[in-house]
Amino acid sequence: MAAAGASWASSKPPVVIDNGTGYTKMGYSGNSEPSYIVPTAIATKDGVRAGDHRAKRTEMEDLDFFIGDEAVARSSTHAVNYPIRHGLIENWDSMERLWQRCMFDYLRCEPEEHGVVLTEPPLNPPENREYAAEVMFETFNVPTLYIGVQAVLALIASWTAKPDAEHSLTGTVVDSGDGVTHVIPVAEGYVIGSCIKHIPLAGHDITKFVQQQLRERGEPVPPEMSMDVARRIKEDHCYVCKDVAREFARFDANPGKHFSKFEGRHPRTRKPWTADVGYESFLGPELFFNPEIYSSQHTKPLPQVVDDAIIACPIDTRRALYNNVVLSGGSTLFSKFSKRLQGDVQSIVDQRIEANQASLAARGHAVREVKLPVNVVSHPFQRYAVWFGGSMLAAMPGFERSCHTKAQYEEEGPRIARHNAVFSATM
Amino acid sequence: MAAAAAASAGALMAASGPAGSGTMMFISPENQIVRRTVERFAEEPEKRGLLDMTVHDFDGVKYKLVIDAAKPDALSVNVSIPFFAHIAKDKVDAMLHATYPGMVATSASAEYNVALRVEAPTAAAIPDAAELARRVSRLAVEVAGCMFRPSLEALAAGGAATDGGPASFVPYRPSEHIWVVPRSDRLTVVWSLEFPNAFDAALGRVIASELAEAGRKVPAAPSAIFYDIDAPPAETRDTAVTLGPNAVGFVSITLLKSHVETPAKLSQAVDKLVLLRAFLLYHIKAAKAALHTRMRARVDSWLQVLRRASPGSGSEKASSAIRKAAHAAIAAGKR
Repeated sequence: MAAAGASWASSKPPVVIDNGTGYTKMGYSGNSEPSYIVPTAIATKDGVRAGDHRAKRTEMEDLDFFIGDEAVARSSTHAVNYPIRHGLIENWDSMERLWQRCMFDYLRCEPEEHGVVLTEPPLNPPENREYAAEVMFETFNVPTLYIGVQAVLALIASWTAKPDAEHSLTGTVVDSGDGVTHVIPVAEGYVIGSCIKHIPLAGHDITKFVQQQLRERGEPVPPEMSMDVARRIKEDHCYVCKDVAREFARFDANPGKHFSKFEGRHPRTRKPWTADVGYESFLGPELFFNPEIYSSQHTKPLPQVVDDAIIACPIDTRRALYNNVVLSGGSTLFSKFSKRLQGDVQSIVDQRIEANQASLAARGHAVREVKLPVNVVSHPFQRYAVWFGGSMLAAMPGFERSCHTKAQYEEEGPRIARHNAVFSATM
Repeated sequence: MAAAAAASAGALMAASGPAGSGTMMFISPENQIVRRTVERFAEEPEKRGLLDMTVHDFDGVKYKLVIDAAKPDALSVNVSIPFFAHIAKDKVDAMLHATYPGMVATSASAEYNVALRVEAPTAAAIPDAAELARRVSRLAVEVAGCMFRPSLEALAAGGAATDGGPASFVPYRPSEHIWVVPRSDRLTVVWSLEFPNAFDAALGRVIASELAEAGRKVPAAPSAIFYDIDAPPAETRDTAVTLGPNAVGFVSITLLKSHVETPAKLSQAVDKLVLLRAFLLYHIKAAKAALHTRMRARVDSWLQVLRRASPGSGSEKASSAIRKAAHAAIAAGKR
């Protein structure tokens, strides 16, 4: 009986839950897309924090909360709490409830039968991993748990674009979502924490920039829809150009071909309106490469930041880091983004090599031919690369050996979760 | 926690829950992932593309949703139920043809027991997509519900529950079983319960016995009885079953005609019977989460006391203010 039970349970795939600051992506491993993407928010009754034990308790109060889209929709009547700030979990009561709802309402998985793969940002304090393990093993009795670093999972996701021989856990991850862009160098599956660079520009800023441009040109977009319209224009019309000046010239030379139309309907009067989509279609994503058009505070272009991050790393890793720049996150989906990034970083690298070689030659040394190829990897699962990486990882044979098991937890306690082994299919 | 268990059990017995609030009392009979996928397939023809998704549900149920790239206007929904062999096949077929007319198909592989095929007009939306999606997402519960539905329908129609079929025994999980025992005027369902973890089993025993207690407080509730492992109910005596180490006991629920009079009530009753174990599991976990919240709050308050007590924390002024306020309150009370 016990053996039958064990085999029944072991055929169940692990569940991958990627909790981000803005959105939580969850689904069963083995699938190529998360089944659910919901905002990481929890709404409780006005004035009562989830778990405020001093407040007057009705009998069912601990179950009275909404999560995800339903929570955000009720921001006027309930207290909405965002338990994750800057990638780190801050409110464990809310998180426990969020996970409970995720498992029983959305995923409908029995926690005892499915292992869980969670994700964490780089530089997550080890105590947070212990708390997560505590909640998972104590409350949900999960059989196995693995907490993967988001950057490493993004690297694993990029393996779909490469042949087996080139699967590597060394690379530079450029993760650009809605809030902030990170450049994270990873060597042999370990994040080089001191070399992580942040850029305060990301998807939200591009949307605001598009909105500004529409407003400046006086497009007839109703004000209550303007953010939404800007976002849709960004997603449907924006692309990365090769050279801004040339692109302006092309647009001006042939406006009929390049300007497109965006049509919408006023939400209340139902009257249709039409807006022109012009320069913002290539200026929007240009923010990454020429931030001065939007922000006066941050003016370093993304390719320069990538170069700075790699140069800060140990010298023996740099070649591999240049060779494997991996993209992740929704804001890297612009058409030709990878090509432009690759071209710009390559030109920075080539200039530096030339300058070095010129100074060597000037001092009379022999000069060798040096080639440092920069390679930016783009693949179809970029949008949810971290979740997809987790899904792929959990589906690999031998993965169970790298997870923490409930038996280990009962034996040693939460400290087993402080270290999550880097798993490679070649092990 | 016991109060919460009683309240949740009471709600189950009364077959209702607080409406419009976030209180998730019951496990929904619809699989949300399946429902959203079908809805999207039906309403957004431009987004139909290759799909191969495997999704798991409670009690070992597995769904597989497939769209063939060559035929993007057909979505195939396959479901695998581990205890399918123990459900009367003719009842399942009858239910499928009644609830999903024109959609019954052969399943993709032997692993899947039931398959539906949702056809959409080429590059156009299906009308009434939301209702269709809801119906398809209930597939697993509908199939499993065939264990109970025929007897309940016979009861509602005024006949004997035995008209719907003989008593059956369903080993629906590796070491847990369901006995369905129809009689002339009632249907009794007995579950043997086991939870894999000893702590969970203890909580499960509390909640399951609360189920019985709460049933007595709600008028006209179906009678629920909790049996300990050493005193199994009469219905189970004929079958020899081995119970695991964390077996909690047996729960038996008896439904009368009054509980299934209307189609809505009958549907609700079937949903709750099928998902009883998931309901108990959910509330066990919720009880533990509530316990942890209280523990964290208690630890926080102790830490605050420690911080105040440490010298140089600047709280001497605060404590003298508290002392003054306390004296003033006592003086006011004396007057």
